[in-house]
Amino acid sequence: MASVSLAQVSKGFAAGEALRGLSLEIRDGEFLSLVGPSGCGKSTTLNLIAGLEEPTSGTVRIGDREVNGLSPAERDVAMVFQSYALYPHKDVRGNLAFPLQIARLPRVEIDRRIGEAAEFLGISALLSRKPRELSGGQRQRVALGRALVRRPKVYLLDEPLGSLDPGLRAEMRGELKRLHRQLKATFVYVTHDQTEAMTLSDRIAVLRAGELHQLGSPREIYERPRTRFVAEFFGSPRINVLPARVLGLDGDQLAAIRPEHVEVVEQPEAKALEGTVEMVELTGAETWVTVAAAGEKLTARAPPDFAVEPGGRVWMRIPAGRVLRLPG
Amino acid sequence: MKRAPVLLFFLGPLLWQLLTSLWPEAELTRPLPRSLTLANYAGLGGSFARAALNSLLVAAGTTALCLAAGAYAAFAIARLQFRGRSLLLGASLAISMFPPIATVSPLYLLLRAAGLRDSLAGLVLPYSTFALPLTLWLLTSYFRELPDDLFRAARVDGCTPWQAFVHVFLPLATPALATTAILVFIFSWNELLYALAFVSTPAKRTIPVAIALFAGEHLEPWGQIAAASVTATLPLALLTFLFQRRIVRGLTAGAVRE
Repeated sequence: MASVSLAQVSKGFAAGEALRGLSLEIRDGEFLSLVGPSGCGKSTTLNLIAGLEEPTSGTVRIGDREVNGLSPAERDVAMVFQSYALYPHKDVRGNLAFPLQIARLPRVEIDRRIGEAAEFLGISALLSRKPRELSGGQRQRVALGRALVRRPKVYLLDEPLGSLDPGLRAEMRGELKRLHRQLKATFVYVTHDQTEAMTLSDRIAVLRAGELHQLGSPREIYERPRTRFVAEFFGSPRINVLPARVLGLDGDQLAAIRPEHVEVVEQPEAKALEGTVEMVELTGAETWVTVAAAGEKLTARAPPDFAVEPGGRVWMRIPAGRVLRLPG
Repeated sequence: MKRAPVLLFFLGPLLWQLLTSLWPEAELTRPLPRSLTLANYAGLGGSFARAALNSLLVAAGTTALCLAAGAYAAFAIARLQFRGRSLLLGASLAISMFPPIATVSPLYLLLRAAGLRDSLAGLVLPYSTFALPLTLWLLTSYFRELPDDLFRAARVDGCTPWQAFVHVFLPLATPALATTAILVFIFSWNELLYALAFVSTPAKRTIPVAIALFAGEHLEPWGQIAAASVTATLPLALLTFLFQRRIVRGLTAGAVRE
């Protein structure tokens, strides 16, 4: 187990810069997610920690050791890939044994660790199967197992649930959470899925175009986003971002409020914002209404008995305490 | 039975060759033989067996050398980052574009200087210069087709690039290796020009040379030539039949996403 730290790390490719002076402290035993749209540098960050790529500048540390220039083998990290990347010619046992054989562990120890990992992940019955004979979920477990047997200092997970169908994804999410709790190891998790990041992480690092936008707990990220990008990346429906003056605030900054905090009412109210209904969306638990007001569009939450048709007039209660100020 | 004419077109010459080889010498002027004989095969004799052995040695040697050198080179070109990768691949292609006849004289001088003229090793080396580019291209395209994550997984699992090659990529490349081996083998087995130019001792002749030199000043032993051709073609045809599917798969590797 170990912390991971990146100090002023940049990585340039022929196509451009993937990371620009990224500094990030990942604590020992933490589950940290790297989140952002594709091309934000999250996978590059993982590769730099793994030693699959070397930074153009800056230092990478694992524990108290600087690992720049060290091969992946010397870094004691394990990685799980979105494509699983199981060795197709080896059976499950062979896949689990491979990293240990390369590390020249004694046979008895290898067998013991495979047994433990297989038990832990519930794949003991699959040990003599080939990867092509396994379902997506089973392959994912084997891929996790291959990381697990090594007992590495750091687990690097590159969108490990990205190839699974939604039902299985939720199940494996729970599994990962359990895994992290029991192993108490450092997990660095790359995803573009905000739900995964929110539900799994101790802290989230939001990246965009190679820069760190915000680092914080899921609650902090959600409730106190520091940039418009972070605010809009998390939450569904998407947060309302408006010029501050629309809400009667001064300054050139932006004001933002999450749709669940904006309540639509059908009667005029003193401090409420008046608008015209554009669209009503029923999602089951909630009804979301898109309202045009003061030249902007807002999404707001409607009561279950909401009955105004598009084109009708409504009023929106906007609690001042819920309004976020964002740099313009 | 639409296939019959096509099959006849391709197999016709081969069948005619087979028939000729079984045709009694005395009846060659007739439109068709009255009886068939194995005499032509029996008459091939020890010198032809020697030539077959030489061919086998040269072809096998070339194949082994090409695979040994080509597989790791192709892996490096496909997977590792180094300067001049595409240049290497391009240059190897350019080399294989040389018409062999243009290289006969310089190669002859080179081999003589190296003391390899009139030896089987003196054939393996020049054959390899032609077969290696083919090996490189076939295997590189195959290694490129294997998922990138596999190499990254092997690296994170602690492999050096060499270990990743030996433990992961080589076992996965067996179909491509088999294809390449057969193609290189066929090329070396059939080669005539170099074999004729670089080897003078009768005991070191390969099959194509032996067949070409069957004809004497006053004699054209067609029956024996046919028998020798059939004998030389049979192992190749058999080999190709056995690995047919793999060859096709190997040749089209990388052409389409699977």
